[in-house]
Amino acid sequence: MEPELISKKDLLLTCGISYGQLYRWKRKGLIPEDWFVRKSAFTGQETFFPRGKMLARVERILSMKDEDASLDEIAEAVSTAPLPDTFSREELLQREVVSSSALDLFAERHPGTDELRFAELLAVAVADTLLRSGEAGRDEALAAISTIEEGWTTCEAVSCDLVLLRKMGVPMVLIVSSGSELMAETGVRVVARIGLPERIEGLKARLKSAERGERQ
Amino acid sequence: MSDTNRPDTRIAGAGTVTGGTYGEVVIAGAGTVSGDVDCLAFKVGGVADVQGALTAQTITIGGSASFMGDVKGTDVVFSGNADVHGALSAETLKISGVARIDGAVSAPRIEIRGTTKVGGDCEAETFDAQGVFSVGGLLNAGTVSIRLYGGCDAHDIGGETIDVRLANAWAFLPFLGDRNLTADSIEGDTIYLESTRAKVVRGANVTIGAGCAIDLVEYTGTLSGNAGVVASRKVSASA
Repeated sequence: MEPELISKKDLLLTCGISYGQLYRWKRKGLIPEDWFVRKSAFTGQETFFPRGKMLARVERILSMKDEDASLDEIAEAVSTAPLPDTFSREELLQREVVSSSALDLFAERHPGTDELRFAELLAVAVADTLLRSGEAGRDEALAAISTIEEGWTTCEAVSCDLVLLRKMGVPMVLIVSSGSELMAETGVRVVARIGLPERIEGLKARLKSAERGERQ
Repeated sequence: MSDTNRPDTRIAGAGTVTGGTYGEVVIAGAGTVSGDVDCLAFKVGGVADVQGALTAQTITIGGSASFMGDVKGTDVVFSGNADVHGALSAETLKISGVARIDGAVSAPRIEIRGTTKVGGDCEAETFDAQGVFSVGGLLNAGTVSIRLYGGCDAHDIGGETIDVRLANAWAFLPFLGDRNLTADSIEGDTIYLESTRAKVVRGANVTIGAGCAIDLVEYTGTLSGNAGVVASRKVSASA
């Protein structure tokens, strides 16, 4: 699954940014190291980026800059590092961050736990996505939660995707590194593949906008 | 600086300091540090062999020191001979002696007056070199200012302002060998180059001074002085 690439030169022209800006963003950690793909071209080595992700990231950075966010604030918003806070069930429901049915699954796994750590919230958010898509059943969403909780240390270190496979109605949940190829025997269907870094970023944006909404 | 939780320690002859948390660590003779050290001030006037990682506010190496692990400090001054096998990070890094860092170097301000070899990438807001250096990876800094006193090289250079000039060193001229900068690619907004060899230079406003050999220059704004440039082309959004 080779993602479509964009050359550095085309990126700068398309987005109207300069080399200096791009290098500054790299230094500040706004663009992950593994998005810089080096390939040989006729002028020697050239740098490429995964097109979709990179264009979305540049747009995000530029729009946050328009709102006068500092580069450090932007770096925090786009980083995949977990937030230190915990989140209570009520506040998550009230802010409409995740659905109550996804939270119920978590409660089933951890009865009596009312405060979710960021990794747990991520697991619930992924389960929520699976449930909402209508593609996954309850048990599969539950398996997704436990897989992320248990595999969190790996997900934190390298960018990973959660994959839901199904063969003859039997589901299986895996965590694989982002961008890696999957080969399975015939009859295995990839039901869903969810990029965790994107989910983390989306979750942070959602928490932030809910916070802002409350302040107003 | 004495504090019961952070005792000071000092080696004047030959000795060993075990890893741990200290106030001031001074090695004036020959000392070994066995393990990771977290201290306020780390000073070496003699010879030090640090077998772990070092975290300190100020690190001053006047003698000779080698570090097996990473080195992290606020103010780091290498005026003697320093060998870091891990990565080095600091707020300000001043190298006036000879330093070799196998890993990556990151500090908002890097000042090189001596000889420095970095194995990995080198990141700074201000990179100011008046000496000899080699960067195995990418040299990425807001302002890159290089005055050539000898042969310098980096795999790639990127930043906002990149300014490379031959040092005004006529007095030492007979003793200096080739003075030039070699890099695969140099990319920035405002670029001024002298005595530089590169495969490709890309930027907004590019000036190519004396003594350059550049295979290709790509610019979006202006290009001035193109002696020594094999090919150049203006790049614009409509193209």
